[in-house]
Amino acid sequence: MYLAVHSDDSSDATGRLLLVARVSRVGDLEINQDLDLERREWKARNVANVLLGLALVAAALGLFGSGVLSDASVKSDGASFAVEYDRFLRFGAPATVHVELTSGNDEANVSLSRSYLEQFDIRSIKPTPESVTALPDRLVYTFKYQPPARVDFNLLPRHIGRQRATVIVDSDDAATFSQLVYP
Amino acid sequence: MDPILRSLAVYAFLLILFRLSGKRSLAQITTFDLILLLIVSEATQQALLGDDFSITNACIVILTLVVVDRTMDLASAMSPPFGRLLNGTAVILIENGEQHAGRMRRLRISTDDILEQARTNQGIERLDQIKYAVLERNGAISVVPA
Repeated sequence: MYLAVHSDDSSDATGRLLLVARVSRVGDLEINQDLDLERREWKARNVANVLLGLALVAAALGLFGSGVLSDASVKSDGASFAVEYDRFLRFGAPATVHVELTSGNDEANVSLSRSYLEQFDIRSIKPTPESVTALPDRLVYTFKYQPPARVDFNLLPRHIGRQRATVIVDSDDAATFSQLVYP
Repeated sequence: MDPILRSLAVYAFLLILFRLSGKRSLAQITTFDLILLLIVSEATQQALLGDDFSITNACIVILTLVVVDRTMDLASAMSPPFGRLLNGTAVILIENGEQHAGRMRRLRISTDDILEQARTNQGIERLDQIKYAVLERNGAISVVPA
């Protein structure tokens, strides 16, 4: 099906051998067709159609963010708060982490690990914290509240890959979770 | 590096997706095929540029796509098997007036599709006036009159 010919380029002094397709003949038609390749393509196409359908269903269910498979929550070790988050995020797509404060007095210090926050842009925090304190390993947000209350951190992922977070409330109760950010 | 990686990823995804979806999807058979391609290009643009709308970023993306495309052309020219894998080959649908029904079924091409091309390009009226009909690599159907 292929034949090797010398390069006919007069500027090419190396006399390279080039592989060119020998043109086949079907009846009066000179044509290169590869029916084996066409049959293999057809089989690959059928498999691909199934995979594409499954990928679409998975996307609808939230495997790539925003859906049933992505919704998750975790209770703190001491059960004083819970965190609702998305398991799967997409780079550059806004995401919210909800911290549900279920017990305690009228002021809470909610901290997020610095290593987690460095992977995100913080778009907004609701309600607005009374103060923010920067510690070596975390940022501490102080809120006035009456339980049960919810604090929303609206974030924008800026790095892809697995991101692990530790949420600590009032220095004595913690919850950890991880998220996967798709490119 | 980021715009280059984005461009490579989107190029690879589109190449594999359209290669596997069949030749006809690129031939814009119906109005909706054209609309679909326009929508795909819109979605692609957002992924390629992200939130960086600078001229520099646009140039990097365009440069990456052109270089990759040229590289693919060069690889196809240097390796005909790779070229066939990348671009496919032409397939004869009608040979000496006889339809290859199995191939047409696998390629999802109907007799109507062939007659439409025959009328458009050759002014042919009937199937028995067609000697050869070939599905070309770009999804177009070429007709050789009897």
